[in-house]
Amino acid sequence: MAATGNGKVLLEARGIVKDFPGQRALDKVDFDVRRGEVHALIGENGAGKSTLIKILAGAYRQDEGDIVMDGEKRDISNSGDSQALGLSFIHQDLNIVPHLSVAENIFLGRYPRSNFGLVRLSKMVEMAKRIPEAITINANFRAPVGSLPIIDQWKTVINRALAQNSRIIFMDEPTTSLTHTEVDELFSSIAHLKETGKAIVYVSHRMEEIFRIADRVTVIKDARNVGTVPVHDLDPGVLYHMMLGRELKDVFPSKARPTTDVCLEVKNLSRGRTVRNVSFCLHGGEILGIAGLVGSGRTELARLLFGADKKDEGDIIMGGEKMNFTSPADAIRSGIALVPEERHAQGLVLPMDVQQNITLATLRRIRRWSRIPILSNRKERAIGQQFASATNVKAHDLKQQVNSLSGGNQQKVVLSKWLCTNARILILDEPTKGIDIGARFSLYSTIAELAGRGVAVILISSDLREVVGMAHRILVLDQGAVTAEIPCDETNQRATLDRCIQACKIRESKD
Amino acid sequence: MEIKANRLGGRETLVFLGKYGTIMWLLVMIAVFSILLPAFRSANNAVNLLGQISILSIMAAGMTCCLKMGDFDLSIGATAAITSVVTAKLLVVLNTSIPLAVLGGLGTGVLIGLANGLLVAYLGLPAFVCTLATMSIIMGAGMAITRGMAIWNLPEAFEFIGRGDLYGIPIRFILMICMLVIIWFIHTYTPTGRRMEAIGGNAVSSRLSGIKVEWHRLLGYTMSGVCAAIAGIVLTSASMSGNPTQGAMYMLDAFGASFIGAATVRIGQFHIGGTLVGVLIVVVAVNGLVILMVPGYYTDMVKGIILLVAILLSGVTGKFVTGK
Repeated sequence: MAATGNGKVLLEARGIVKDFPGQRALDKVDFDVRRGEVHALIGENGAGKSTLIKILAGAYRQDEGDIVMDGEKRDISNSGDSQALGLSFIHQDLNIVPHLSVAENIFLGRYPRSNFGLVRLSKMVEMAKRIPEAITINANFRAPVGSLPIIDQWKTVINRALAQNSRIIFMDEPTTSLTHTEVDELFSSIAHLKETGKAIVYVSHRMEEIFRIADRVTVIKDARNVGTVPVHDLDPGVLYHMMLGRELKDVFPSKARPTTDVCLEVKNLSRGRTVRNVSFCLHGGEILGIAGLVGSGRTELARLLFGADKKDEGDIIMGGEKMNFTSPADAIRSGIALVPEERHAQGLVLPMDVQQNITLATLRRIRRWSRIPILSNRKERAIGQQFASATNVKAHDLKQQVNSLSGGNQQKVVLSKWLCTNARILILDEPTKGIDIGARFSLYSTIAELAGRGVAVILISSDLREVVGMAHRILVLDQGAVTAEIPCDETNQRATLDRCIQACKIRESKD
Repeated sequence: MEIKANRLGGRETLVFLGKYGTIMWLLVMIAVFSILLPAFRSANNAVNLLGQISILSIMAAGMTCCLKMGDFDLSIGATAAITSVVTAKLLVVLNTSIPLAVLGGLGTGVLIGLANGLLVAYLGLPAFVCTLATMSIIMGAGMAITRGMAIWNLPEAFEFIGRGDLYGIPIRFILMICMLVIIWFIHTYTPTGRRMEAIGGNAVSSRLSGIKVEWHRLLGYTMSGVCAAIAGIVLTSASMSGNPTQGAMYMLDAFGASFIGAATVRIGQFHIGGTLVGVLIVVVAVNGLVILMVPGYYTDMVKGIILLVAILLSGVTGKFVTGK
């Protein structure tokens, strides 16, 4: 923290403009990086942050604006220029060669040669160990990098950047594939880099991390820099406000009051080590949020409730009756629906058209005559139309393959399929993952409308503000068990959000 | 801009060729053979062609039911063979009535289909290897029952199925039309057919939409078994013998026909209309070669090449057309 704000400016991008056909990707964006700081760069998918990074990496050329380093205007027209200026970029895929050794990966493409032009591994290992201010890797430098834990692969790539005398290291969502302990290790590596005067540009969606390690944060929204602010003393709510451009309570539809009748009761539900002793009640018209990190058992819980996996123990009670689902078909018959996490792999049949996907779970409804199993084109079309418009699917033709729709519209098709079944319990697993903000609002209002009609909703999401904004009550899951139950305070969503972040932090520090 | 328009035109032509290429290929082949070969356009040959088309179509239609869901059934040729043996044994050795013998043959097909379906869909064995094994078992069983000898002296009335005609139309052709229409109808207009198509498109999504995936795959294998059995019965009647080897060679042809079908109109998808086009191509090509007196071993090579080309077209143009 000591270096915050007083570090020398290493890089300054001024008024960067980048146009793509039909769309402005960056609109007069200013961005600067200082010596010894961690600068978080956040924004929705498609907001423009990756375009900015690509310009600095030399993959794109800006249409207007200057990049200034050491007081001079710089021209970055390819990745070589960018490297020569001391910029390094670490992507999620790490760009390592798994079967080559740590040392070879550090000097990848720039092997030190002996007099005969041969590469000597022993010399390379020695040189790798002598990189100034390198990060310690507790591994054999001759071991193939692919055999090491991901964190050591990360350190290898960071050391590669140091070997190239980089001054600014860009990291793109580094923690997605790391465990909690590895995240801590990465963060102490980042602290070490800061101390030695390097700067880190840290791209992440995870708010908790930004508050943990960043010194400043820049929010990119709709191709503009909406603000660069110090993280110290920053209110999370203000940051959300910057990202969304509006207050949380304006983004999400208002919540209707749930009914008092219990439509689902879960008692001590367990499956192996993924779901442990989960109990809760769900009322008609209630939206129950489920928070927790990937791998905390959220998806597994959803699959158990839907009969996609078998439970080991516990009861699922509906209408006073113990249910014993052996397949999703049973659950669907009892009025449960699941919008799964993976739209393409689990939600849709991509080669089929929109109306075929919408009617897939309710072929009985589109029979020509109710008792004879023959399909009616006319009914299929009518039902397809009715439910496509109920969720606001934008397709020019219902006979269009779902393949050709945007992610948001595909998700609406999946939701339409379940509206069609008149489900009384709707389970949504990461419903807004990877879909644009417009489709997101449209989904939110559909979900709220369903709840208003008495449908009980279980909303699983990694996006805490989404859970807080939508749910009446939130369960926090950790390692398959419920660790907290947080009621949503309508009048003070920020407080609720803070409590959720707190609940997540407790879990994180436990490791 | 002009170049762009031209390229678009080129792309559309390619898409058209991708979709209708097989049908054009068939028409060109028929036209060329008809003009060049008097023997090809003779009435005799037409009847002969109808006969060959009938048996292959029935088998290929069954196989299409499996392929539609991404399953293989390599055992259909062997199933036809053992059906032939069982039917002939019932008629000759046990002296049963013709309808009972036919039912016995069909029952054999159903049992084999169920066995394949249980092994593949419910026990999760890989379809290719599993049906390869059952094929070997069934072939061996047929040989064991007959000690490798054909069964002759079937009752004369049995001839009706494979050699008889109704107002000049061969009975087996009528049978084929019935089977194709039934299966086409199931695939196109019933919930079962829709579910099968969904399973072929994405089995995981299908299961999560409440479709009993295993049950439908079992059904597919059963349909395949029944179709093979019908083909076996027709073959038995046409040759008036129960033979543990007849029908085996239809397996490869049925594959070829189905894959040509998947390269026709609805690219990358197996459907009955396409399969019929495939059957016609295989039968006409082989027939033309026979009339040209090309030695038989070359026809096997041609069949192999047709299969290969069909697989290429169904996959590659499929990707091209859908723009993946």
